[in-house]
Amino acid sequence: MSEIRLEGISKRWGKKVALSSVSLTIPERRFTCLLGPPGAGKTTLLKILAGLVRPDAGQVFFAGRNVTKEPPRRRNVSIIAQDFALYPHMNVYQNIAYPLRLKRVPKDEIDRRVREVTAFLKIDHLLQRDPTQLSGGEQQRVAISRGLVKDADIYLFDEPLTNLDYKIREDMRAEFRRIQQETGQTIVYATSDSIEAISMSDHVVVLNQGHVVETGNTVEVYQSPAALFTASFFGYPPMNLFQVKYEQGRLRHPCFELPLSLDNLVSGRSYSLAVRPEHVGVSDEKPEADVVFQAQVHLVDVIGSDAIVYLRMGEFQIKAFVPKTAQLDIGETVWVGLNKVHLFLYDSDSLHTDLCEVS
Amino acid sequence: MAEVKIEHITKVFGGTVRAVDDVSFVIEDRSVVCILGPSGCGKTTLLRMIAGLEEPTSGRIYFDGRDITDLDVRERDVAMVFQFPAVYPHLDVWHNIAFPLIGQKMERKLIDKKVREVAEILGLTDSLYERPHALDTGMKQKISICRAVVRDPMVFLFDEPLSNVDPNLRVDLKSTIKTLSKELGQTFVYVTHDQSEAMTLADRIAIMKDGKLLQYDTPDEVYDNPVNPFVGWFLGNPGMNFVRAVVQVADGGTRVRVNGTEYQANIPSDRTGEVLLAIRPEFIRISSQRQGPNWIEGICNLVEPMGGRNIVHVGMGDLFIRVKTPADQTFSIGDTVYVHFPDNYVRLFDANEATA
Repeated sequence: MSEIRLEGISKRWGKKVALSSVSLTIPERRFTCLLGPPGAGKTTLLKILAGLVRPDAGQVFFAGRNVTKEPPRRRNVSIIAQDFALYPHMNVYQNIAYPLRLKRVPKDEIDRRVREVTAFLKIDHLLQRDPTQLSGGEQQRVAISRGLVKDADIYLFDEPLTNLDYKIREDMRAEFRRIQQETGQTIVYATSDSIEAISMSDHVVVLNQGHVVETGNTVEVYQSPAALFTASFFGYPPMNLFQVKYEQGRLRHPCFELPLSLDNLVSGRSYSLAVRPEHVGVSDEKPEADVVFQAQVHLVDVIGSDAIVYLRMGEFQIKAFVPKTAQLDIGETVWVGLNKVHLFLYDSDSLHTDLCEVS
Repeated sequence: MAEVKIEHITKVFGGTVRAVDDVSFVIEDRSVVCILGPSGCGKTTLLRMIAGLEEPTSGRIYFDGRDITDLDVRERDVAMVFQFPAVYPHLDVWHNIAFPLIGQKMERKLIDKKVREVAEILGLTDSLYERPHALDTGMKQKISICRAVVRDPMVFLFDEPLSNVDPNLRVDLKSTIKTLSKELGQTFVYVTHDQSEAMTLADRIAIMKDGKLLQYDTPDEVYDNPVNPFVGWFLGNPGMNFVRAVVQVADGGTRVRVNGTEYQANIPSDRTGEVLLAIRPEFIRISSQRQGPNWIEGICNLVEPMGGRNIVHVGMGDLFIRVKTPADQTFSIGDTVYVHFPDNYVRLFDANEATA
């Protein structure tokens, strides 16, 4: 119905390249996240999809139809911006009904749809309020309702949760996922937050500096990132990376060595070894593991039921994701254990080399 | 170095808004206390009253037993670090740190010694002669902290010092503050809306909402034994779950009814009747099979993968609970699932208490 295909999309803002020859397919009826740091080109890409920005080069197809030159109103997309603005002189009901009134939808049809979407987002008790009387989370729900009420083919969201409190974000993440799963709509959602991407999306497009770094099933991309950039960015916290050198059948790092016989490794060359913080073992006793070394506890950062432990080995650092109940004191020396099944090796020379799982 | 005693402090703005409402607690000498709460809870107003930047409507504040409520900010001997790092752009880092000492007309050699001592702890030794504009917000905030430290005040006050620091630099600064609090052995009062900062840094946490102090205890205690559903919900990621239940005393234990399942339990609470049964997502056990009579049926509504974990939403009647599972334990939407609430982790609240 509305699979999106981009072919060779480029866009510059003055001298700055926002998007550089982006080609990708966004599946229909799925939740797709555009994930990347600020400045990666996420917003520009969304605006090109909405028709608010004309690309310098390349083409956009919706369900095979070339829409590159079509104006926004003919594309049937709905875009919800990060800095959404509710009309202050209208109450919640009027705010949500506004896009339908513009389209001259009959009054009783408007009423039915507004009530449906607001019940869905649990703000149906706020319809007569003014926006100024609402909390940040409620305002956000109104903006989302206004976006969803339009019955579009594609819904585009630009970092809608960034300015909200942590506890509201927690609820809204689940809400977004629930909406998509219950309605089966095509959603494209831009974010720089790894947690949002992993928890909400089926499909992820990793962007950096205007380039598509990698795309795929979100869980698969998380579990085995094909690109070094993804490894260094996707995750909270992202993967630990170590510069290692391959010499005499071993990967060498100042803190550890790992014997390894792989044909495609070049002796004398540098690689990046990566491991997820949740796969870093921390213990008081020397563990049985493929890579074992000692480190000092630098900080135990408690996050709900878990903690991120920052460990130091001289000038090097490794992060481990452990239950909050693990008893670790700052300054304490502990053992770190890593196993081959959890290690990934990247070619340091290039960002886009194939992943090579070391096991 | 001082004990801070806050006694029935109230602040009313504009005659009606009770920003801080009858708050009393004691901050022990040489301890780190975090005042934690959602935006608008009154935490910053309270800190500003301790600093002397705001006058309480009623109540008293004592430093080491001495009533300082009517003292001017200058006479209180506190040092404050704000949300936005305050640095003098025309001075190098050394002069930025030394500024309060130069004002005191301290001997140059002594100033230099003090500046270097504190710069060493905060890792600024190599930047002493740089101008601050070249430094990132994390470094600038370190300068603000150094300047507070050299003054050697009775109490250090921090107002969300990390909220404008780049997330990547936040950890470094958090660990710096943690180290500093240990090395200096001084009294730190630290305001934040970030539960993780509070859990990581504090000896004790004061949780506020709507101007009121809800709970004041160690991080483990507020997390494990919240005084009300709000505290349970506010702490944790995600926070505590709440389901309606009926609890009765029976056979030397308790009889619990939840979502149509009745089972024998031994819950450490004497509350009975209609209650709000609360439990943290990480303590709930979940399975696709009923593992025993005390397993409760529900429906998997949603699965949120979180990387190293999954959060499974389980619908129970018109409520749902969140269950934290390992990444390899997952369920499909619509699956019938069974959950078990281990007795030790169950907390009971009044059925009428608000959860958020």
